[in-house]
Amino acid sequence: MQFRKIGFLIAVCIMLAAVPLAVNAAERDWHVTETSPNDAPLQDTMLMYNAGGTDGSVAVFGVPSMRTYRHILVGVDLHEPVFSAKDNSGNKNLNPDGKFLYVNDKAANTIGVINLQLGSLERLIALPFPFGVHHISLSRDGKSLYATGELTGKMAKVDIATGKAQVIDWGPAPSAPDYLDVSKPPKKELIFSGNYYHSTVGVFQPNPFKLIKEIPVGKNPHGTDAEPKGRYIQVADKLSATITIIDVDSLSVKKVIPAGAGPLHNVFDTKGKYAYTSCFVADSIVKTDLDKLEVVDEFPVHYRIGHISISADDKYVFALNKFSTGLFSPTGIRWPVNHEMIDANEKSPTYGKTLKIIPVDGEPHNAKVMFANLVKDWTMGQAGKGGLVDKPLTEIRPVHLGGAKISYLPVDTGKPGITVAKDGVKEIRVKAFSYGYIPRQIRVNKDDKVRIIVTNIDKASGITKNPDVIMGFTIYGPYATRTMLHIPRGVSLMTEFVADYAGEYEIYCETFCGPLHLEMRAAFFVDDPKKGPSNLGVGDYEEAQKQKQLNVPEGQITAPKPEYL
Amino acid sequence: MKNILNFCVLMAIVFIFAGCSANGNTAMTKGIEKPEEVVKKFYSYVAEGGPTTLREAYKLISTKHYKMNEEQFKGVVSNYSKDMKVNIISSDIKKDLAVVTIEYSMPSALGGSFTAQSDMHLELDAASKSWKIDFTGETYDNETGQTATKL
Repeated sequence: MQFRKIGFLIAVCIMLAAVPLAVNAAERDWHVTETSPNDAPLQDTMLMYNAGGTDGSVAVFGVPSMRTYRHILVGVDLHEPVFSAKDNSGNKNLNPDGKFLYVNDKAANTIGVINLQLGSLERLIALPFPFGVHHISLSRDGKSLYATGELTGKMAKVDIATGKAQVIDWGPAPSAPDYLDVSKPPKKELIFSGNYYHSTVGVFQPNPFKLIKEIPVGKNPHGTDAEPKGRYIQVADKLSATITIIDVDSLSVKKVIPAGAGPLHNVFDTKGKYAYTSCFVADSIVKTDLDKLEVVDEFPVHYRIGHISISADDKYVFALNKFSTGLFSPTGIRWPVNHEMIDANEKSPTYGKTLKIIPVDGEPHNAKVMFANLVKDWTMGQAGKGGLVDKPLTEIRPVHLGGAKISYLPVDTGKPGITVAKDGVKEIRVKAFSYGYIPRQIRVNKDDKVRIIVTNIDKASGITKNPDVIMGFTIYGPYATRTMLHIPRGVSLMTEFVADYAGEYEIYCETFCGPLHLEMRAAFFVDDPKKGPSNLGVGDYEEAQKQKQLNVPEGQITAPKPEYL
Repeated sequence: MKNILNFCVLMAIVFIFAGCSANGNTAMTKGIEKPEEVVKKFYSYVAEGGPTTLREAYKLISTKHYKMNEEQFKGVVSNYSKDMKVNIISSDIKKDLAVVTIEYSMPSALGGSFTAQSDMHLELDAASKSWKIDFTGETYDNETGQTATKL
């Protein structure tokens, strides 16, 4: 018996000796890509659902193969995918039930409901105007989505079943509720949202839905994320290059941790042991020990990481990079961005290294990962037998940019502002740069014929000095499908349309251009002479909520009247 | 004799200054293709299209401040309206910078046509002794977005 114990210990020692020690960050050569026979299986163990930003689609990737499985068209400019679940426990991926994926469209102001078993869009929830949704997060009971109205300084609680939204103002203006999350069990349910104009995190109670506290954090907070054990909210202070840790019990700052420059978003492993924070300017991912609350490692990324994701088994962290300078073949005016898969398994010999880097479509925003076995197998006639089809199936296909009349022009050197052309069209010349527009406010009358000419005047692409930088110009809401201009350097883009919806609609840059990309905003006012000057209280907002631009048949879009608290 | 010498020196100075100020640096630009001809050629290449012809257009743009990727350039100009008409309105040179004002027109999605003017900047490339188009607007005034150089 004693010999058996000794033999067992020797065997363990031999096994441990065979595992190389983890290489520290300074010695790591990212370009040494290690592969294994298991990294491209025919059937992936996990699926990543990625909101594709300006391509209006959710992309589905296999993990670990990183092959593209499909694109699911949802709308115009997608930002945050959220799995359906019975509650909001778990890390950023939650504990998905495999039924639905909710994804918000910042340009159209909607939430798409994708049926994961069908693999297509089943329903659209039209949010009220004015709003301008940037991100969404699942409520504790899994029945509501909280949403930030970044473009108007509002917050909403949206009932998923009915689509009805409770809307509250978060003043004072200027106010930009940005990224949000809901505290995890066993703590009581509270909603935390960063506000980059206030440089605070707002704390909201769910019932009745209202702001209860604002906690000052670092400059221009972006990612505001709940770690899975419920103890903390981790805030990425974009301009302070810090991570603020908020204690959920005391609703106060517990610690401020120096991070890499330009921290943007956080993810956590499922155990709540480590956090990973994307650092845009530093081109890195910072790894934080959540017990010690200190940085323990850093991984280089390629390049300019925005969002960040983690696999369902905690083994891989994904850098969703905004630029790919020099990495891939050019594909025209817009350069491919990329997903970079990094080995996060400390026991792996390739720990901390880039395993795969793939070019991807659109301008990807957040991505979530779940185990692939949550999606049923529809092949070999199992659909009927398995009871997968027990009601009429719905698949809707909204218009992406079908209404756009966009022209490329030689660089327009005209003075910025509004003039009336000989043909009576209102010609609006806009100059776009890192990070703003001239003019910042555009005012026309309802039913005016409008010709907007936007010129990228950024020299050497602003502070990033990156040739990939393209300026964006989108008027959110009913004008989203008719604008969305991606303007490379050396060219002007023109869009022409009739200003048929009165109201105040914010203009934003939909193509990532640098650390202050979110703050690059302006406003488009359409005045109805019968109603007077438009503002956030005066406009054709009920009409806009019907989302005729998406050309979705009646009955497939949920647009109830909102409740203003 | 001394007066004649002084007169000659004075006349030489006058000729030197007159030569410099009459038309920019005429000596430097003498004998090379005029900026308006470069612009005209550029738009004829763009109108013709196709990878080989667009490469010739690409060769006409300046790389002094920023080298645009060729494929990206081709992607941009390929998106110009096929019905776009370009006319040269004026051309002016000061030292190693030229401004060529063009007027272009194309069909409007709102009916009728859209017409606008644009000031194109060209820089004198000392190596190739030719005018190159500042396609990405590096010599424009960033503050206002307007043409910066007042000639």
